[in-house]
Amino acid sequence: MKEKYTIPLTKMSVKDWPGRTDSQGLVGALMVSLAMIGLLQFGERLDTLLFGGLFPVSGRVIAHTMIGLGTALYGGVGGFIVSEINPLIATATGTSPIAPFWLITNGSQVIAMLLAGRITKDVISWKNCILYAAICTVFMIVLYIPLHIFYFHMPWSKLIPMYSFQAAVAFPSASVLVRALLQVVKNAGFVRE
Amino acid sequence: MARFLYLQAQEKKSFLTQMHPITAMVLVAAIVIVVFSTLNLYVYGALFLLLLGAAYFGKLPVKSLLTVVLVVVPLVFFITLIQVLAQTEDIVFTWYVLGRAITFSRYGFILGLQVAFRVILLAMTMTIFFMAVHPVRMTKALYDAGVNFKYAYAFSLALRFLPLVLSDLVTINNAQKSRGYDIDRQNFIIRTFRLMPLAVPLILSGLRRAEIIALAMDLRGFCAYDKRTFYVDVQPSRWDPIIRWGALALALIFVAVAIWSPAI
Repeated sequence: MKEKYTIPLTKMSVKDWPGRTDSQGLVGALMVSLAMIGLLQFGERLDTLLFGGLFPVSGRVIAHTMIGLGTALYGGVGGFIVSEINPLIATATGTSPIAPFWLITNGSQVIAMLLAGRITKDVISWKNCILYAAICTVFMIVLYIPLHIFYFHMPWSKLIPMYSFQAAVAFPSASVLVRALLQVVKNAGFVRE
Repeated sequence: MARFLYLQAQEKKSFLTQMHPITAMVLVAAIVIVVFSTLNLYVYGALFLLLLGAAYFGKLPVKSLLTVVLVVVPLVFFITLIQVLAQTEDIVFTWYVLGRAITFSRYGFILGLQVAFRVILLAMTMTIFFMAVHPVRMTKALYDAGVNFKYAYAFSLALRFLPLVLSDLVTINNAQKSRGYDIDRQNFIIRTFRLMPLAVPLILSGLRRAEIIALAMDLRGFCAYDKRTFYVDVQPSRWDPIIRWGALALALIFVAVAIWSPAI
């Protein structure tokens, strides 16, 4: 019978919310968050070059992947640490004007992974990763439309091709990358009872 | 990665760097409320001068503040461009390309500038906040406000370890280059999707390091006792409650005026 893996992967006897709240959960989530900040340097440059950061695509793929990984490993609180450190650091270094908004968008990805994990009940599975990326994509569109309407006063109905492009790139890429990283982390021995 | 802004400001003590962090947070919230409740350029101009004045008299590095504003330029350009092309009111010019009309709207241009100003003001506000408030003082203030120390401390810990992780990333990048995998030479469109050879070692080394750090923290009694002691003391002055409630009241009054008066 196939083994099933639940959130948090680093201690599956603990519930997914709040997940791991001990020192290792805190520092581990922090390390995943810092790795995300490092990797985002590659993605954000491209996003700024293409659309001035208004429609992040590659940054979103990296964020989906790392926040999904962090939540799967450490549960809800760990996931929120992974998701919220990046906007704070980005604001503290002045790297993006819309960084404070990421507090909400990144947080929604934690909820997406928790939802996907509860529905599929097996985190390291294609089904879970595809569902996670699908929920993330829906959350992102739902959250970006108010941002574009209230903050940027954009005619959102004319931006549907942009949202479609973002979804078309982020959905498959994030599914594959999250699945690959979860498999790597499992093989490296970080998944424990 | 830009230098952390607070490091530039801490050398000079001023009323801004000495302000209670919670008061600074309330002031930021009040400014954000005002900025979001209007698109009036006069109000934005006044706020811009107010923020510049606060930075100057608060002995913050104004040059660094304006450099941060430069980061907004690409975003501002795209916002204005999309508004000019997408808005249908007050068309000043129509250009036909392959039988398709591309319109340029004056209303869109002005709206783009207003939104751009809004983005600049918010960027300046957040930047001043992070220039003026030291993370250690912030941790203490959040702890005093009832936030669990573990989570209040997370941001300080992140600032401490970020240079280490970024240095790891450089080392891993160089190691992969020496093996013939040069991410900088990848097609820039697909570069993001080829990050796995960097991401895997970075994440795994980070997780291993986390185990060691957590063990060291536990051995030193991290959060072992309910009552913590701090080497930094952050106490609100008698003016802090007045400033907090005053700022919030002013922001709410402004929102009410903006709702009732279309001119604002």
